[in-house]
Amino acid sequence: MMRNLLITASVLLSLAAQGMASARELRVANVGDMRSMIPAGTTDPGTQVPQVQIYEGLVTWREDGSVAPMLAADLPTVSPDGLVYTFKLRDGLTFHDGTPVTAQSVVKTWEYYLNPKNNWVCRNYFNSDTVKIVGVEAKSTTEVAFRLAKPSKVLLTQMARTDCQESAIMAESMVSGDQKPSLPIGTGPFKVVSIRPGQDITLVKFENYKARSEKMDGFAGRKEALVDKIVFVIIPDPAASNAALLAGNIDIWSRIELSYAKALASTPGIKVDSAMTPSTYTLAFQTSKGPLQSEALRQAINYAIDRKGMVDALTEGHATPSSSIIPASSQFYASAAKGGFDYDPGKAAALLKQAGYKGEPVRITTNKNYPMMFETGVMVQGYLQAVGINAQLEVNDFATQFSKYNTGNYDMMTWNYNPSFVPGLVFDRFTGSKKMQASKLWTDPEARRLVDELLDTPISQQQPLYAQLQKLYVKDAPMIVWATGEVTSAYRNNVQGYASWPGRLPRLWNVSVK
Amino acid sequence: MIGFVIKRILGAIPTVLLVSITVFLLIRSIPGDPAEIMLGEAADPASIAAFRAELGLDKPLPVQFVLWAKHVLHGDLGQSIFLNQPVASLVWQRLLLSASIILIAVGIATVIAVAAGLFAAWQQDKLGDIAVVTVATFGLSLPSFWIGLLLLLVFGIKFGWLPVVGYVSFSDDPSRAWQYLVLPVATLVIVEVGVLTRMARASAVEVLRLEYITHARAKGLSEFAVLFRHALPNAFAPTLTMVGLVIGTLLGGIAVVETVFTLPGLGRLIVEAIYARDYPVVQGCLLVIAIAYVLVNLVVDLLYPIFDPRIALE
Repeated sequence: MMRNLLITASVLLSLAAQGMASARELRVANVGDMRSMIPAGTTDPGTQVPQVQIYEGLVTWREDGSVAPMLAADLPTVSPDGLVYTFKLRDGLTFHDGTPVTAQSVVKTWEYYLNPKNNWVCRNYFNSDTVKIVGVEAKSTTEVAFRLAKPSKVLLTQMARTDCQESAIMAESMVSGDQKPSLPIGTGPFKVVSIRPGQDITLVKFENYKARSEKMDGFAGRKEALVDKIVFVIIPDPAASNAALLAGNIDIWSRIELSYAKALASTPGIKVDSAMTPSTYTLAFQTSKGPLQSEALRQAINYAIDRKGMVDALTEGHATPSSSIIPASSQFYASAAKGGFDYDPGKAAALLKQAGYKGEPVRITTNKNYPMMFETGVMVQGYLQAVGINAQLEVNDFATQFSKYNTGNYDMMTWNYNPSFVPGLVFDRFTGSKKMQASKLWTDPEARRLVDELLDTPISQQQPLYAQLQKLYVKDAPMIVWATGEVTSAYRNNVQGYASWPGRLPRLWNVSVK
Repeated sequence: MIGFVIKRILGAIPTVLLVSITVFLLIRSIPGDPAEIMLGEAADPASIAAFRAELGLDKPLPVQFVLWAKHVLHGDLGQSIFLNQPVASLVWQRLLLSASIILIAVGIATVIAVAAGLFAAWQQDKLGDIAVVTVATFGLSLPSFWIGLLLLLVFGIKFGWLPVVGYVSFSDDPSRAWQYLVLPVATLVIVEVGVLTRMARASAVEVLRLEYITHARAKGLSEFAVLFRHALPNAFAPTLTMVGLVIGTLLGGIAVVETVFTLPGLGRLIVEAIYARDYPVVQGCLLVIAIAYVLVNLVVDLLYPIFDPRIALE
């Protein structure tokens, strides 16, 4: 009797627990809340992942880093003096609230982005020496013109940046008037219907979405919502994400903690796949003060690191050992990334002698919020101590470390940059004068000149510039690059059309559930 | 009694004020601020400075504190920088969940602990006592995250009886809400029952040695009557104090359990707010916890005379 009761109770409980997801609902783990309604209002992954399903820009990136139209019908026409870029919008586009997407919507969005009072994260990219937008004007209902202060070849690349959420176009109610909507309103294949902080973000299929006809390529091409609903479940803890996937409470864990990869891969009903991403695992050096002002010492540290050992130990093999600033996923890697740093403790010792190193402490700043950054710090400390460097670990929380990065208050620190299909844009983030921005690492003026030239050169002609940058990087050694990263996803077998891909952010369009 | 309550509430004001000032200074003394975190690594120093000014973080600390305190006195705990919601409503929503888990868990743990403690004291130095003390010590030694993960593994993954992530509130769907609370409550019960059992046992051992218990037995009362009618009321008072302390501690310390079970409670809100340097949320949460701590202990003090009439509230 008791046994029967227990069996009945367990069946009922099981049915109740499993009955949470409907047939066309996709449940996806998300590491945090959406911290901003504005596209790229902040750049944390918890915000980026849902936003990429909601928002679209005039242009976006293909997988090879080239720019493709999205809301624009085609790439813009450029005036003969190179100062005016005119975009024509696709016909019949509407926002999630039903209002039409017009040239005026584009103007309003860009006025918001460029207004310094709004503190848009990516405003700098459009207000710099390289790209300076001085005006955005509606030429007709569907035509909008961007006027530049001087000609620039990187305007479209900057507009398409994923970390800036493609400079997505928002409904006018998002950017004007006192009564702002409580939910984001974009043009993407999914629209937000509820946000419950700490719990979940629910998106539903946008019925009036007008898909492009081209094949999906990167963030570009055809987007089709094949599920009715996406629920992003807020799960900050990797162990909880792992448990949720195993229990079937979520369908996709798009960026797994690598220590779970092997166990998940051997679990029936779960797929694990990886894709190399255009990102490098790095440690930043403070090159203008402290012990690492010495070029020879920086080179010694680079030779003291066993990159393959780090990849095996820290990533379960889900990375490619590399000492090149050009990610191994890049088309420019093979020919440009020659002559890097091999693991050579003998050479490291010789360079230490050359640097006149007398055992001064070298702080390795890291944090425990991101376990891999902490473990990287521990391993590097071991390698440095093995060649006689007095390496000391300084463990902070990430916010403290970030502040030290911004102010340059460190000797070396574990630090990774968001991936970009255009490696030059990553170099742009860390190359330049510390007088302008204390967080810059590579202060060599020649490096800055090469990066500027690179960003102003068509992709087909960039190869020699990447080679020159790599050569200069090996000489200056402003950081340690130890691997090119991968994104590893785990998802249940009922998910179809989903896979890890170099863009790292999960693409949930063209994905269905059985 | 009313005089006692008023005196205690007035006495709590300096405590709450001190907590507020300490929290305010501590959170600002650690490096990193919300403007830097919000704007990310691409932001230039001018943008960060402008955003700091917009948040009022460029003002001198005493000015910032006075402005915040002024708003608090008007019932306004401010606005979350990252979640874009009023702190008061955020804290209230999260407190309801955390408090319900804590109260249910501590309630169950207390019932188990008092019964087990009395039994152990009654069986002092015998097998039953050793068994209870061993189990209680074992429970005390286990970290809550480990128990939580173990329960998830068994009841969420192995048997699939209960959901392992998410939360449904009772107001949304009472029939499903309880499923999400079973495992977190069970985790807290396992963790807290140990400490309460040891306390209940210790006080029961002392009470059982007193003369009035011998007298009761000499009168021929049953052991059940001796234990539950005569020993329990006196033995329970120290455990009640511990219950108050446990509730207060858990209000701030439930974050681990909430993180493991992805529950949107107060503890997780505080931890995430500290990492994000969401100052208004950190200050609001800790202020509410300080007040809750004072109130819980006040209630414990008010309940004391019920169990031990020798204690007067004057």
